[in-house]
Amino acid sequence: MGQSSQSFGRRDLLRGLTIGGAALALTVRNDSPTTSAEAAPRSDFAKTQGLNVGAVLETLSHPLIKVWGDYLAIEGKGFGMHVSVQDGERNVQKQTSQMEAFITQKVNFIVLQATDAAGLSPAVRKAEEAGIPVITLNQNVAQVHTGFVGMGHRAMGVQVADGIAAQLGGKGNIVLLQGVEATGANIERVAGFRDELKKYPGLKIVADQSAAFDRKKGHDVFETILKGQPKVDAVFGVNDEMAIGAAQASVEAGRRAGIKFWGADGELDMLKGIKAGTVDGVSAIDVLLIPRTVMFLGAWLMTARVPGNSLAGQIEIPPYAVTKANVDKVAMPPA
Amino acid sequence: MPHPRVTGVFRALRSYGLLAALIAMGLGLAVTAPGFASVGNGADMLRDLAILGIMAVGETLVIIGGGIDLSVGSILMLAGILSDNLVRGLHFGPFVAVPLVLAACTLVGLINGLLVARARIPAFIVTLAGLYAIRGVALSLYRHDVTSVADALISDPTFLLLGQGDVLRVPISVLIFLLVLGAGHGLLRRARFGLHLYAVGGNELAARLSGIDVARVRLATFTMSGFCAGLSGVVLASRLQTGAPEAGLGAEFDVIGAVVIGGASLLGGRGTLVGTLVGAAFIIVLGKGQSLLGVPANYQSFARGAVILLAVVLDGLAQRRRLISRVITRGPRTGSASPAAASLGQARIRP
Repeated sequence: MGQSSQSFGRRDLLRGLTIGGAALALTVRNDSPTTSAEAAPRSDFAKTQGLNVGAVLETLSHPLIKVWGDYLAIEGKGFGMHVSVQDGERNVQKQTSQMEAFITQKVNFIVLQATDAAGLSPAVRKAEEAGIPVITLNQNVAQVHTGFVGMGHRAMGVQVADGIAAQLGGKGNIVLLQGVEATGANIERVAGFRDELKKYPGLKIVADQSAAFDRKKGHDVFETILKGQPKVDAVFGVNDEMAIGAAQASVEAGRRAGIKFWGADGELDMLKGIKAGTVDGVSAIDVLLIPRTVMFLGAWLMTARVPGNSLAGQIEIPPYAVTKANVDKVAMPPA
Repeated sequence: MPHPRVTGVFRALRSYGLLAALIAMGLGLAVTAPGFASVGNGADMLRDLAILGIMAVGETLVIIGGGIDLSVGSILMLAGILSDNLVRGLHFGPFVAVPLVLAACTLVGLINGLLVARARIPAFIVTLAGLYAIRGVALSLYRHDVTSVADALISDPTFLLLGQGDVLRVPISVLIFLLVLGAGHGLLRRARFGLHLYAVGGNELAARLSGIDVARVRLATFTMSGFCAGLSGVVLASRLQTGAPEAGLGAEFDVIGAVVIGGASLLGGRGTLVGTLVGAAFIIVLGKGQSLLGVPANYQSFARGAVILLAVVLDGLAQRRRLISRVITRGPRTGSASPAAASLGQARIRP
């Protein structure tokens, strides 16, 4: 992101902050959202009382993102902040308009999960210029801004490539199901995956199509691919939803055996699927860390003695690979 | 055929009704929605209006001619992705890239027009097919060369002026819209083409019998609609600094909604660009107001649908009353067997 040497200090600061945030988040962790809401208030964040936060999410029709929206509000409440969550409907103009509305309302900070890494950049610039810090949630934008909190997407792509290579013995035909191509997650996961695949000359991508991060589309696209591809050994769904959809299609076509299905995110259905053997692997993080870290960072930003928008850095939460071998050690998320 | 300016009074009256509703809504939102009545929000809404409005100008011409263009959203998307490829990917200057993109989109409009006017396939079918086909072409052209978020932006400063720049604090995109609107208005009101267009949309047979080249008029409207959607797409790509693959999804509905709220008849022969301007403003103000009020997305969509329906129903009532009063006071103009049919034809020819 074109950062100066000065920002390395900030990055370290952020890294420390993540760990601190994660620790704090874990101490108040409860299994049901309602009890978590009561776990507040936190006296060390007296200055955050009554602040308004605008959250523009990618879509609310994705189970995990819906839960992220709920947790943003819950965590915000813990700091005495009011969070307004908007459904971006995976539409760049809609998200831009929602960002502009929050800028007009002069909210204290904005949380954005951008459906288009380039397309939301002008709106982010506008917010930052108006003195409203923007924290991007799991989907980065090209414009330099206050902070990003999300999964280590590139590392996820690498991890999936390695995982597939290990399960296939370094040889086989791979189908790549891409998500919304303009998103930061898709760009980085696919780039990491392709780079890592270069290490395994025996692995070939035989089909590469978009299924828009959607379970139903993953199912439909893979159903069609199966008809044209006599030999498929592994599928990388760039998010879990598409991998789950594709696996369902393979069962219906009677071709589940012999195909390894991998996803990335670590949502509940995926982890359950690995346990049950309907899918084979995922590059995951503890998904609730994201909304919790975002709100912790936002609250810290509102109370810290730093000038204006001086914070600019990335918090990438490193993923871990989950397969049937270790899935029992992983805590199940709410969605 | 009465002169457009005389009969325009009736149309203006109805437009004023809509305008009054728009102003009432604006005032209501200024009081209830925090930040609605701010300079910043005004500029935001004008920029949104420009992008919707440019497309709606082309669509109005098509609809007056008795056609419909469902492919405008896909053409908008195509224009964005082409701009992105040329300006960001291939580093073309905007003075080369923009004309190329506009030429491509005009060509797409021309193909739509040829299929409708010459091959005589219904416009709904042609442009519905176009909606999918053009989208497919655009997606296949969508960049695959971006491997990091940081290099995803169009950064040519001249190109970015189109959607982001200002002249004397007026957004350049709004100036472009006004230019297109003015040109379209002149075409409808001051040029022979306008008279022909209303005639073709109102009563195709009568138009043909009076020597108008119906196919050519229709062809022209679809071509202009392609151009307008392309121009809108270029402005949007400049505003977003990218050709967004999902940008045009569903845009055709907002565009057709704006034209219909503005008083145009989907049967053809009726409609004005002033009406369309007010209709487009209606959609933008409604959306922005709801967004500022924090209305949930489902209700926003519902309200938009309700407004379109209400506008059409009210317009239908007004239209029927006018027809009836004319039949009663003046009687049928021609010796036609059915007075209603005659006056219907007459009413539709009136611009």
